Amino acid sequence: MTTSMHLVEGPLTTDVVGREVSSHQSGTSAGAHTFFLGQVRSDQVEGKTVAAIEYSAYDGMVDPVIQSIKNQIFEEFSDLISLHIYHSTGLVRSGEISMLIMVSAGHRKQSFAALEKCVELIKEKLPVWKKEIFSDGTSRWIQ
Amino acid sequence: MPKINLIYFGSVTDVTGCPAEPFDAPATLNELNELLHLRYPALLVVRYRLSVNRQLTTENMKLTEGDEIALLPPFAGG
Repeated sequence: MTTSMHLVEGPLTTDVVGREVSSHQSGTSAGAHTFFLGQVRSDQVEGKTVAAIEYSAYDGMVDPVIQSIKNQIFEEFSDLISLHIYHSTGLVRSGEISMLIMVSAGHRKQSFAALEKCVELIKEKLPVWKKEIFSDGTSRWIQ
Repeated sequence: MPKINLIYFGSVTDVTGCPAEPFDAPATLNELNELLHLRYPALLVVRYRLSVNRQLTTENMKLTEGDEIALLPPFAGG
């Protein structure tokens, strides 16, 4: 079982995706890699446009929470081979990527299911907060 | 009186005006919460949970020197 956890300052770049795929080329037991990329939407709120989201995280709590999520996922999906999670902190502009999850499994069905479960658990349990920054400079916390 | 470390996140920081501060610990977590409400009355209308040494808790417990207590508004990752 290969697992890793990273908080990344600023937006995630497609380099991360390429690097993750390349790093798995040597392994031949996986038949399916599934990705989730979370992108900052340019929502309209009361006539204002979201220009960016500022993320903050409880660094010291992120790793144990991620480990607990991974344990739960690996327990539920026996076909799973690896699970990688990256989340942004700091400013991420609309259209940029703020979260990347990569699941590798022997076959596609568990790869898809584990990915969806992982996204839901992260939204529920990861100690991360976001503040919407509007194009007029005002902001609000997302609760 | 033992010293503890308080850490604030998200909308709680708008109330406290700072991300963290040392605090003279009362005996228990419940007493701490009451003291925080006296110090920052606006916390009464903010939704948050408490963690002790990076573990979420809903139960009262004794506080000891060096404990790290965090006030965590609802999570919003992704």
